[in-house]
Amino acid sequence: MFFHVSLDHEILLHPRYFGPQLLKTVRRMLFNEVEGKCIGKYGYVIAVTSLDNIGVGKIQPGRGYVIFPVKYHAIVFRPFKHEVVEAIITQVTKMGIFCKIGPLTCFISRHSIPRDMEYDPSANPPCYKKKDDDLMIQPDDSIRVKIAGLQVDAKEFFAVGTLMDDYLVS
Amino acid sequence: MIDMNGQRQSFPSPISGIITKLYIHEMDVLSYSSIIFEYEACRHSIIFKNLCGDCGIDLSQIKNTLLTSKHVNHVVPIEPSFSAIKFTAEIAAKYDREERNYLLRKRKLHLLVDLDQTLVHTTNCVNHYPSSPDVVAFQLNIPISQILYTKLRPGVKEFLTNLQSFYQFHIVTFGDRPYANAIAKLIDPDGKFFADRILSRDECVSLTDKSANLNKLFHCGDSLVCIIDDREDVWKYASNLIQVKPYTWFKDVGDINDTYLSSINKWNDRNHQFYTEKNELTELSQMETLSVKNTGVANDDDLYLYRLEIILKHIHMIFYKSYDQSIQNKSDIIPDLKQIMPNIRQQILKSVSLCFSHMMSQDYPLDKYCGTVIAEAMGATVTHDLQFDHNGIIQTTHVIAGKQTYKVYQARQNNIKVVTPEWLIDCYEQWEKKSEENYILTSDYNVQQCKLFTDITPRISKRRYCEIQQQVSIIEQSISYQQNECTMNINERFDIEKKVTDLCIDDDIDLRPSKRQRIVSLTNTVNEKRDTDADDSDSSYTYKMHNLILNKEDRHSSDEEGLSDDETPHGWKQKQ
Repeated sequence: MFFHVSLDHEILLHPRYFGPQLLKTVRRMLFNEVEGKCIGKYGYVIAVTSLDNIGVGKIQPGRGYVIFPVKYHAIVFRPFKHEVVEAIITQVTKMGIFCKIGPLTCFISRHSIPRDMEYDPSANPPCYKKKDDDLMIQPDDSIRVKIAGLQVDAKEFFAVGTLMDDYLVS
Repeated sequence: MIDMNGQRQSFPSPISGIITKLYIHEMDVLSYSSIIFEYEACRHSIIFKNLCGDCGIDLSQIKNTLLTSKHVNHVVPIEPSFSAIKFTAEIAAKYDREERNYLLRKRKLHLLVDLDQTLVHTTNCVNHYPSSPDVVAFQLNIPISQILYTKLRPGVKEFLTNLQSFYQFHIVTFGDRPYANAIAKLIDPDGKFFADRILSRDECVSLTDKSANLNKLFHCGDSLVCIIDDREDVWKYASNLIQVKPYTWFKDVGDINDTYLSSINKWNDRNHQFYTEKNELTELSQMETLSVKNTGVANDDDLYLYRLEIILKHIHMIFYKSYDQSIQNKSDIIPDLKQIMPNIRQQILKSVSLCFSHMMSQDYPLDKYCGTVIAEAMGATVTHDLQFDHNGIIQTTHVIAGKQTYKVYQARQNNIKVVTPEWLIDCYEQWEKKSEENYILTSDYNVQQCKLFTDITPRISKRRYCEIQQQVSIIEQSISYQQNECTMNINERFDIEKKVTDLCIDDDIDLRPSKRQRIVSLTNTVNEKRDTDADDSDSSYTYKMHNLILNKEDRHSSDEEGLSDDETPHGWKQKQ
């Protein structure tokens, strides 16, 4: 699910950037450091929409570096358990399917793939397909998947998905 | 569920699992404590980064509960590319069985392929860069990366295409993952040969041993697995391994002129099509001069893969022949390549009996010598000495010699083929009995370069060595004395002969090769003398002795037959 939230970030700046371009540099560094990254509580930061406030920089004693507290608004992507999302398949193996929900890697085990879809190792690339139907799951296809479980790592989310529900797959 | 008020209600289940038996049906009215269904708890058989692949529970959260205690035996993935996924042994075996049945249905076998020196040859050094249009330069997509130069072995693509219907290929390499992927892409841009079946160093269990990975790759036995690699030791000399001839393309080409280097650098930029024609011409001419300089390097005449293809097809045929037989006999036993392949190999040098000469130090145990091991793997019998049966007919069929020794002399007398160790190596690599004509031992053959040659220092004390030297010099003196005297009674002569043969009973003790060579030729002459004894011509004997001494001196000056100091085994040098 996507949220528009207000977030804080601290930017550590080397003294060499002190000058007329200072605030521009802080701005640029914020985009670099935050966008595309994952924050455990809020999920993936997709885009910074507005920079609300750049606080007073504090010089680090003994180092010369300066820390700027920054407040900003950003669109974040936070997956939830039981959420239904669109995903793009990256790899199909005999154990299951790997897919990407934006930045999030999701694995769909073979047990969570409908029974009537069979694994076909001889196809190139390998795929899951229905016998009577020409419905196929193969890399680069987009599918609808339900998130069955989530794990929050320090820097990343991992998800396990399932296709065993109504209106899933495609 | 609809409650008494006719309102629909749903209850989330606190447990996850699979319903095995359902006791209620639609429109049933439930009473208190009626059994609704039986379920089987999730076994967490597939784990993706601590998440159960089936029920989605985060297993790290419930690690301490009883639930996980029985699911600790998770193994690493079948598919090596996804190390994030773990299985229980049970499910891994199930998938593996599925795959085996699929292979058998398609009449295929597994083929584990090594990359370096088997299918390709790679270097990171520009200096080792013989000219060839087939060499591909690339850079890995990792932070610190050198430019690598890779040359595909001639016929790789044909090899894989032709064998595709017989084998399913897997890459097993000690290169790291980016490298393995890059090479796989190079050989197989469409992914039709290898797909995801690549095992690199990153997933290897051990850094010195590839055989440990077999269990991880194939959970229900490796009976369908055939391996090709240029090194046997990493597979612990597995019986289902074909040791291929190592493919070497980049050799030390010495110092190359700077212009050549710069032309390579330009070539690396892959802009060479934008060169002016003039530049191309100069480049070409440089290439030509270079290829002239390194004859045999720039001409890639490596045809080994064509031979390997024939071997592999043969193995495949034999395997499915015996598989069909076992199907006909309605037995469930699937033939095992680990037995079939040694059997085929045993046929190569069947009925060959061979012995070695000047290939190893005398103390070296024959049964541990690598030459013996590979010869016996091919079905040959190896003996310590020339072998005669009770009728005096020679049994030995081949002598593998590194130098003209007494044994070689004896063998030639008996019309036995004397071949260089390369014969044995080529037989082993090409799985066929090569014609001996191309491997006849010549006097200028240098055994030191042969990989079967071992010069491990014999464990002989220095004192013993000095004694031998003394004895040798005494014999030499006595012979030169006889040359002056021109007389020698038969007893004396036999005495000397005995001493000489005692000293060099072929491989019992070790002498400094140059000395030994001399003694051997001495013995030869004495033997020849015995042949001419019938004529009772002492003068011819003296003449021969005379020649011998002269020859010996010649040898010292010309270094033609005797070993120069460089050729002395390392151990001896140190001892002196």
